[in-house]
Amino acid sequence: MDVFLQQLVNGLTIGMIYALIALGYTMVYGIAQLINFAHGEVFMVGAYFGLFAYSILTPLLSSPGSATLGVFLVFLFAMTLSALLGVVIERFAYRPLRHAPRLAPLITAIGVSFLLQNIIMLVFGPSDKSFPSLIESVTYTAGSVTFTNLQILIAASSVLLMISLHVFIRHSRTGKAMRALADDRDAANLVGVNTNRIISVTFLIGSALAGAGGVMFGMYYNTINFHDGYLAGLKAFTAAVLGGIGNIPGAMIGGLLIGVLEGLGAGYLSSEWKNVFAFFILILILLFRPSGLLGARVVKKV
Amino acid sequence: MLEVSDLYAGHGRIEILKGLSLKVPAGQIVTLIGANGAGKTTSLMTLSGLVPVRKGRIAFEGRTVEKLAPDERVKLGIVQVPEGRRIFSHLTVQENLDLGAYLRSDSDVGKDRAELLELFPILKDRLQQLAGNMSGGEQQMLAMARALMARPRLLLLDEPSLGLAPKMIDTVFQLIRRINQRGITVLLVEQNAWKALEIASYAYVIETGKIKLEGAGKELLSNPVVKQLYLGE
Ligand SMILES: Nc1ncnc2c1ncn2[C@@H]1O[C@H](COP(=O)(O)OP(=O)(O)O)[C@@H](O)[C@H]1O
Ligand SMILES: [Mg+2]
Repeated sequence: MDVFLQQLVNGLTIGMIYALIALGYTMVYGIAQLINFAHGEVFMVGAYFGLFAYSILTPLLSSPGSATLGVFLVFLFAMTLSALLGVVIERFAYRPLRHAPRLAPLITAIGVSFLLQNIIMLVFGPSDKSFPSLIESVTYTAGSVTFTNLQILIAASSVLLMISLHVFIRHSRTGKAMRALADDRDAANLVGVNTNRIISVTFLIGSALAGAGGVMFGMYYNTINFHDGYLAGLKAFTAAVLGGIGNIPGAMIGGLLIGVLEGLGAGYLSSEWKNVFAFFILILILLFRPSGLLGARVVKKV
Repeated sequence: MLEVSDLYAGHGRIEILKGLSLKVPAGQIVTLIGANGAGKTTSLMTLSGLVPVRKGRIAFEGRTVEKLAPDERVKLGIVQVPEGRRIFSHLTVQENLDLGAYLRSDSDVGKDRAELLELFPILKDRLQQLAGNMSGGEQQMLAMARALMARPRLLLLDEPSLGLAPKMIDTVFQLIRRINQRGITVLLVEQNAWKALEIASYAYVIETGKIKLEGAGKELLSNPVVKQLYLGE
């Protein structure tokens, strides 16, 4: 039981990060009918953006009075640059192929992935970079379960981001246009929704969330590497498929489920196997329930 | 108001419109009738900018518009109610109406919606309902109301009576009259040629992407060719 609760808490923490990344996959699929396989790399680059922001903001972060502001700025910086990166990728790698056969954007996605990995490797080097915790660690104990203030920070800011996303998609004018486009592209164009603009916004939001996930990932594991985007991206993609690709609440639930399964697997079986579970699940869903738990393609249903 | 001259357009490599020309004078109801597959929907989609023009010209109120993106044409007042209604079925009725006014930023949107709900009373009690759960007739009302929320100057209607019960068809045609009486010019595409020719001041018959015949609505009603081919007599 102790192991169970502890691994549940740890799994939920990393699940939050997977959920943030999964949202980008699912939104882009729902609105542009495109699997952005470079999305994991945006997450990874986001972590490096965070590291870069840290190097600039070190004075701010090390003074106790402004540490919170410093963490906030690291997130803001990483999210903004990741958002721009996502928009640029869409503009130059996917938009020209909007009417091409579906295989074409998949191939450019692989190209973009390699490009980003190699740029990061050249700039920051191939070995692991240590990532600062950014906040002074405090450990809490509740019964037999221990957790840190960092885990609370990750969970709270993820939930905040997801609620903001929900409110945005539900109530804003652009959010309605996103759902309209997911529902019926021609009809959306006929009321004056500009497909390119809305797809850009979708990449912007999805990439900003991935960037936030990247910073959290770095803070949580304290080390980042240029190939971290591959595994995390694939797990988040699995989460999106598990929840039903295109389905926003599905991606959130899928992310948490993958995180928890991975946590429990690491606790009960072996942590060396933890990366296998996600793919085992991916194969199972694709075989038995390809539309996912909540049903596919429903950005419309928020 | 609208002048289409020698228009060529199509899907992919297939050419559908082959030299289409027609005119819609301001304030009138003009109809475009023709057999299934003649190119009626393609014509309207080309006017709305969803099908690209290969050759020819579309002038709207003196402006050349064939190169404008769909949203820019909506902004000018060319608004379409597509074939098969195409309402946003996973969104609520209210959200569908909001999206109709997507490009508007004036302060009259609320007033217009209230007015439209008087014109389409069946939508009133269903504002929070998912649009996809409504009947075909109700969806047609919503599709028309959504288009009107954009404050069109020219309304393109693609087979608004398709698949509706006879009583509902009458309602739809009455509504088209009333919309036109409010000063909105209408280009009506119909398979129901009888009703369309009755309501229209001018009519065009399209065949394989070209205008085959044209004339005043009443005139075509008694034209022997039209009678045989499109009125089933
Ligand atoms: N998206 C499309 N791709 C290819 N061909 C199409 C497409 N839409 C319509 N067509 C073809 O264009 C022709 C005209 O269709 P359409 O404009 O829908 O006619 P109508 O509305 O008069 O029935 C038909 O032969 C149809 O098969
Ligand atoms: Mg048609």
